[in-house]
Amino acid sequence: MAEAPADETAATHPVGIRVNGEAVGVRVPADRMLVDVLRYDLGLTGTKEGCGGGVCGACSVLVDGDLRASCLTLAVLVDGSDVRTVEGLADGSALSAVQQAFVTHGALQCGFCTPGQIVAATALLAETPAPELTDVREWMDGNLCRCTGYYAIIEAILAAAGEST
Amino acid sequence: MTALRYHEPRSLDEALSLLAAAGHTALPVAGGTDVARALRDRLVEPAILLGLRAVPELQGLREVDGGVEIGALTTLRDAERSEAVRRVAPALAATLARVGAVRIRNQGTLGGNLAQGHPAYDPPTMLAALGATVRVAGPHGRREVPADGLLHGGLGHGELVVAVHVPAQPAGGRATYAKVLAADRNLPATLTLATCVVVEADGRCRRARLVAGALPAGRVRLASVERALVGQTLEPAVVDDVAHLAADDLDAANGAAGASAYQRRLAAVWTARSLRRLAGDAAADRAEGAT
Repeated sequence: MAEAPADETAATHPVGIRVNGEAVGVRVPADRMLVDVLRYDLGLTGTKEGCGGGVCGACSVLVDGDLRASCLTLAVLVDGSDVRTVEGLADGSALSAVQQAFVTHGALQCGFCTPGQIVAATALLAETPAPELTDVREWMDGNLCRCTGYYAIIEAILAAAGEST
Repeated sequence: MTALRYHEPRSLDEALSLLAAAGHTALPVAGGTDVARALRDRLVEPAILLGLRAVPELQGLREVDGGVEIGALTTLRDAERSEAVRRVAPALAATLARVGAVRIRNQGTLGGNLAQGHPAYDPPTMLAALGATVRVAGPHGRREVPADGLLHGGLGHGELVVAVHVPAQPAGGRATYAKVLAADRNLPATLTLATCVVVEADGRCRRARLVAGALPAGRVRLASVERALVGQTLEPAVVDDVAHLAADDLDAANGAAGASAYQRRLAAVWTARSLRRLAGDAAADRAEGAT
């Protein structure tokens, strides 16, 4: 991926990250958030910004395998890290188990919260491959959805877990 | 666009000298959850962000003399999941698990949480009840502050949290954390309460520490409750008797900027519930022959 153009009008700092497996270098202002680097500097618009305050979960990404709020993550603080976004979950055209389960169980309506839900669920199953219902509810607390009422989302996550274990 | 600069000191001394030189224009940042929100909301307008993540003296988590020393840069999640923390102070691990969501705990650090000085933040309240000590470094050197010494005031200018030391808890020590949330759990808690007692083999309470948080006065030691508990068993009649003293302690601390009537009521109710929970633990332990 090409390096994003340097911004001459502000103090910028180099940030090197691996995004979905590819090495990327950008120059960013010190207060630029990772969500903006992903969406605007790298064109990866799968990750959404819902609240800007780390409480809605729409901006969920994985940083070095850990579930994180990219709207609260200063890009300069993840220099050297591995970032995975919703764009990096499928294997070519083969959806991941979680992605496929969301489709099969109709676990989305408008789709805005969906990338965050899928990334959060992916992190859950990486840590707890066979979660109980309470595990799913506790972990996914913080991924808000205004459309679905959550039942189909929980169903999809448990189904994806069931398939892999 | 911003002229904000970012710098990563490589040692604690370098961080402290930069902080001292830059004064209020430098903002230290650890995990960055609070700093990110403050920058976005323009609550702060620093000239320099001092990234602490490369400072080795702030890192690490180890058992020391039966207690545990937690470096300031330890994420809340790492502290929550640490075997050492769960062994030394399981109530602290349980308290950490109540902070925000996994996302926040993966990023926020214990040092940053303490430095923020927010009266509703959970870890400092439980740390005070557990008798923890906070190691701080600043322009006047290093100092150790009892965690409940940070109840009013927090850090001095130019100071950084280095580590938190949680001492070995005595046999018979048990603790529990209560967090009363509004329907919108993204608001700060309405009341928090950390309760720590040391119960002898005969069921009598040797020592008690109760710290209430999320109050107008910040955090408050429920000193009347503590005094009333010493030498008593935790039977229901005793618990009901002492719980109402919690409201008096809130009044004494809060003065003109009083705790609300609701908070006073919550303090009494949750003091009783917490003590009943701990009484259950103590009784169960005695039945199994442990002290």
